[in-house]
Amino acid sequence: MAASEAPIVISAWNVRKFFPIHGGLFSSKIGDVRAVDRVSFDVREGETVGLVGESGCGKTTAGRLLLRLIEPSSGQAYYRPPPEVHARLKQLYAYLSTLTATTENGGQLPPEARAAFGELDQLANRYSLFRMGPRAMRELRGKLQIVFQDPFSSLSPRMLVRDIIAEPLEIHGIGTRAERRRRVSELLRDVGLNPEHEWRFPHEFSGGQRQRIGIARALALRPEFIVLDEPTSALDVSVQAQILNILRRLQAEQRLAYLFISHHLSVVRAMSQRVVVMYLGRVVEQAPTEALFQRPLHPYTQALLSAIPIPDPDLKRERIVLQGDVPSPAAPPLGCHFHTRCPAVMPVCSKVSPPLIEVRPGHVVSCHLYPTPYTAAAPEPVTDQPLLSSARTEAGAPAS
Amino acid sequence: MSAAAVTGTAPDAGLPPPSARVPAEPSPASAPRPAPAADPTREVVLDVRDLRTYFYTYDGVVRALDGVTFQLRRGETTGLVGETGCGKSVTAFSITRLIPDPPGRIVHGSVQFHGADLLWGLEGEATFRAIRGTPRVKVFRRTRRIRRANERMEAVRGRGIAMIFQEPTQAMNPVFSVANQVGEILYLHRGAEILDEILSATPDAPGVEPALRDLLAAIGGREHDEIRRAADAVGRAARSPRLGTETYYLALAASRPSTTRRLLRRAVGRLRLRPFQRRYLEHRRRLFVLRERTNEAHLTEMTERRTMPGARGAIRLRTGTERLTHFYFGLWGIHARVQRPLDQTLFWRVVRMLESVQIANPVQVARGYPHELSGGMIQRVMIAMALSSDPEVLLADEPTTALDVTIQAQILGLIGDLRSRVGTAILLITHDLAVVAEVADRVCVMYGGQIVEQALVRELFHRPLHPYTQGLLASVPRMDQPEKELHTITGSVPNLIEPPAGCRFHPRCPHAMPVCSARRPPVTDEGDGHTVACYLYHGASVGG
Repeated sequence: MAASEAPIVISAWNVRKFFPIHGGLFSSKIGDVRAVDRVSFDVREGETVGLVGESGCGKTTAGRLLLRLIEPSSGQAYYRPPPEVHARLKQLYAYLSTLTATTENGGQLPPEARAAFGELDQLANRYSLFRMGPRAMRELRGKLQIVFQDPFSSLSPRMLVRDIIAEPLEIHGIGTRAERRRRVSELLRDVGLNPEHEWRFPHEFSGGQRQRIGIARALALRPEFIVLDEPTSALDVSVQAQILNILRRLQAEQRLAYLFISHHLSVVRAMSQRVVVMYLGRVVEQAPTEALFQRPLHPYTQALLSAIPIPDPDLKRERIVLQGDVPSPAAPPLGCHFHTRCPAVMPVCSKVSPPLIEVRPGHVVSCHLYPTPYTAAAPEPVTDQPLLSSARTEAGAPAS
Repeated sequence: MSAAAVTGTAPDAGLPPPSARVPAEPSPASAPRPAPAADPTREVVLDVRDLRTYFYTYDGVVRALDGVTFQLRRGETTGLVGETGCGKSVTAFSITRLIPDPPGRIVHGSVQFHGADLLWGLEGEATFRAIRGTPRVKVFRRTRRIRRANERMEAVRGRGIAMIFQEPTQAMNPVFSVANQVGEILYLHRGAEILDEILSATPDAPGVEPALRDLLAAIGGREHDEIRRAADAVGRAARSPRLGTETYYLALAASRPSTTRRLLRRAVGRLRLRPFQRRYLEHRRRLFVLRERTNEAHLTEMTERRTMPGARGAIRLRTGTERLTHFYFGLWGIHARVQRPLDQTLFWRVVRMLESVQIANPVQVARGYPHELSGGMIQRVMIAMALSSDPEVLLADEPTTALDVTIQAQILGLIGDLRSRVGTAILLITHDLAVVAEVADRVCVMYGGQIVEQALVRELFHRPLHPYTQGLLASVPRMDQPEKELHTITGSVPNLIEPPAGCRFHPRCPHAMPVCSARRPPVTDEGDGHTVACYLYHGASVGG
């Protein structure tokens, strides 16, 4: 697979965001909304990763966390880690996840674990977005951009289109005035608008055209990674197709990495190479697109896929209709979050939350239906050397 | 003053309306045409012909609907699809006459519901006189005539034609509880039945006591179905279904047996009416007889298209009696007490309704307020309201657009149940072709305020004729063919103030011919009731 050879742009590990709930006497903290809970995935150059789930499952929050539009509670997002660093990260996180399972009642951490934490800390200081100071972050923001969901509220009604698109260039002090102007008309052409449109205000455009303006603004700084937060959910199908085609063309031309957030699974299938399925803040399944749509493993993914209407009246499928609503993320069910609606629920589901396990290469699922291959994995020896040779990394990779 | 003469002057002035229901310029598509041959055995419930709704704005006249013709049949689901701004919602609002006036106005066409002409009585609702020396006109609205026409619609709205609105969160009132709002609708449609239930309840019947004992025994068993059956038996014994629901939820919340017994006894006791309460409820029951009479009179008026002296009298009698009832019982300062049995019964009825739309904790939801519910739950409450009267026609305006796919599947299932249970004719307005493919029997494709193609669902998806329909179908990302480059329709939706001449799709059409921009294409039948308005096809014209 060509995509997996490409360098990683963003690598998120165990990202968490808990929003505190205040209430009671003196508005003390009485709980947390676990909006995003241990979300991990990689986005590679020229690749689109789809992030799907129902409303309120934390997919938008996850996208914003990666750009630090919201400050995370814990976890790291590494920007362009070299391959050997990424391999080491994989090893360290795998080791630490076994550790928490085995030393629950021990109290004391073994010295190797402390060394592992120290090494992770060092790696995070060097590569993680979440550890960057304000100045380094501001420089990096040009590489990380976002296109918002609602084209009607994401453009200032008081600015001309040319000012909207040129604003990021001005903030980063790129080019002279004339160069910026040239860049604006170039960007407008790129997204299929007329260069004359730069003299208009956003209200003079239709929804599809506004979304193109939003895309042009995101492209202004030649980004490497764009979070597309439901870019077409406010648009009609014919216009949606135009936008999706533009996004695809730009990706091919500029080797952009996309995080495509959507609840519309057929759009995600058309756009992405890998899909992450979220439910109530947690990743329940992650797989290459074809594998996920051909053989979904998690019962939630299965129900989600079967609920999508297919525009063909002859195809009548057996449909899994889930009962009830998504539980509140402020008080998620114990164990597996999905067990209250799951058609294949077992007694263990309401007690233990299932770990994410790699069932097939690249296909990760969090469900008790699938036996865990990690049980026999011994803790890896950890040295104080920051990076190991690739040979040792190979040996440490979990069997899949 | 002839209406046509007025149209000549007014639109240029960019001013509020020329005459209501101006005969619009004749067009081939406008003439009535025979019903498509889909399933002629089914009875036509709603017949919409050549409907034209215009909005008179300061920028000009928006021709939102320009000759829309279709039929809804009993037990059939018709999908109405099209892009944003093509007039889908305006169609639904025009049928129920909920178009805000001004600026909107139904200027032409007919809507027949079981032979009753819903637009009847609005002719000449306003007259216009030119103001000398200015291009402006003065409008004289006949308010009494309009008020009468609106009163007549009450016989149809809700019970005959129900509607599910697009934005569920905006369709409910934030300051009243769910039970309050749903109960109001329920009382309006089922009030007579509910009052009969209260008045005929027999809390002292000999069967009640043993049934209560059975229920207490069932609570010990902790088997939900068992408790439900026992509670319903209590309700039957007391001839009050509401008591069945109430005791069921009391039983579920049961703590100590002695407490539960006391609470159950109290619930039964609440069915006993004091004489003045009985008198009040009997008064209100009588009001329903009067309401029934006015509704019948109004339907007859709309069917026979003439005013009947009885209808006005019935309304007067009803409002007079209503006022007297409220005055008399208000006078004694006992309104809260006389109202209580009714409110309680409505509450438990609402709980039953919420159960039927699969809301998990109906008692809490009924006590709650709209802001406490999620979008999917409010939409289910709205559906419960629309279905409470077992309507003959349901206009569902994007019922699932704001919802997630798993909730969408639930809601579509509920609407499908209604169709099979009551035989409701459903108009499903949506822009999601996949939803139409799943649930509709027949599809109308709208573009720029006109229906451009109409066919059975399978026929439309396999043999789309109109270039717009073809483009629309090709631009949907398919789950089964993911890697294909998506087709796009160039350009965007036309401006309906100055729509393109001739076929409204011709500026975006890949097959546009010179004739397309000259004249509006006639509607032709391409077999099996598959009608299309396009010059590419030369089937039998159904333009008549």
